Amino acid sequence: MRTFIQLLRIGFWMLPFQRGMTVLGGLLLCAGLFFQLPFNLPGSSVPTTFLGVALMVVVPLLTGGAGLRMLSSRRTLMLLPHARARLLTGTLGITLLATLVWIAAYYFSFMRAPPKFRPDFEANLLMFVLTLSLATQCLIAVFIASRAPIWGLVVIVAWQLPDVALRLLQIDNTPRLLAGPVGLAMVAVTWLVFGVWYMRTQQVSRSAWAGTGRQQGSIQAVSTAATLSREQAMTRWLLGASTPARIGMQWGLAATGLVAVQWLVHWMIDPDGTARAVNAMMFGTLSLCAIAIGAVSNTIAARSRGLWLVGGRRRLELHGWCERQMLRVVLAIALPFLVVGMVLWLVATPGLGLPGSYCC
Amino acid sequence: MIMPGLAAAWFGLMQQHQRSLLDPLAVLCVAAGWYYGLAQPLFTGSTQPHWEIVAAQFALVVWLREVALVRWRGADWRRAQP
Repeated sequence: MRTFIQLLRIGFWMLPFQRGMTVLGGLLLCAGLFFQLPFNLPGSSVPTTFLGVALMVVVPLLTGGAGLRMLSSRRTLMLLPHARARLLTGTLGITLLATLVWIAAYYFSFMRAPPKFRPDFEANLLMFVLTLSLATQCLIAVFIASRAPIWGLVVIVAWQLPDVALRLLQIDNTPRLLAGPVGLAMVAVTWLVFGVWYMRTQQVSRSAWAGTGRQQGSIQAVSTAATLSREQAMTRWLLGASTPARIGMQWGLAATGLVAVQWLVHWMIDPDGTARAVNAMMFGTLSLCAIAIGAVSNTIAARSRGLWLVGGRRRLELHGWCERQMLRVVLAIALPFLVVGMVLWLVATPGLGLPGSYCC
Repeated sequence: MIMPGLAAAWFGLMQQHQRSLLDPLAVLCVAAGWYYGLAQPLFTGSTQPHWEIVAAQFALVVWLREVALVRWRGADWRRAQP
């Protein structure tokens, strides 16, 4: 129980922006419940109640996987008895709690509506399964993607497989099955597989993830350190032992795979449907390269402090050097995204005539 | 696609040592530029180029770079600082 309360605090109250979102969400929820705001009506696109609940649960619901992975790394917390089991159970409990709070928002929103408009038990169950499925997949995908984006992509593909398979088998009531017994079974199986792996794996760390031993990594680091120049060593420090080309390749592969999955799902489910929507979705996915670039440059800024005295540079010289490294990373990340975008533009959108300003 | 990336890059670089109220404003500007320059035209299927938004994003990139430079110039790093 103590672990669950600690995880609750981490999920809802640890960082300033989390506290702000929780307080703001609570205020909006209370305003929606007690003051009968004129725009908090059933049927509205974003009722105040839903907005309040969404603000409160979005962080633990969508980023709980990254938090679980960070807590699972080698630290004194792992010395507690049954630490992993407690962490896993606590995370599952928070996922269930956030899902139930989201379902409760439906009840609160339709509390004053006429009975015929209120969602029945089946509708509530449908929403519960859908929300739990989304939360589960987000948690596990973020857990994996926070260390290896490619494996996060594999999870997304596996997530879509039952949907595609049911449609290929031409089963008529696919949405009802996915939001009912099949969806619930998918969630249970996913948690079971993830739980077994999580409890049995030796360590949740980078070397274990990459399939190489810790000792081997240390030997490799010592052997290559002797051959590195000062600039190369500084670059490695700044980029977290990686190179711009490797970072760009990883993000480019992830983006290509994600776009391919979107196109494949569109082609298998609705090949005769409008191509404009899926094209917009694919270009929208590619536009998210800004987040990848921002995250890498933020890491560069955070690591640059350690190079100030060691690198023998003044602050502005260090800034200029970091800026050049950052631009190399920007080029390495943006190039594959632009190439994929160009291919999409030429192949997937014949005659659509998207303007060139989209690329800028 | 390029301009929001560059803006995010310099926004990340200006997160050095000190933060201020400019940061949420910069995030809003980057998000607004991405939304009005890319997301909304794609969603509505507009084929009319919005070069004025691209120009505004370019101005944002230049502004963020200047802010980053000023912050690095004024960074007060001490040897004992963690």
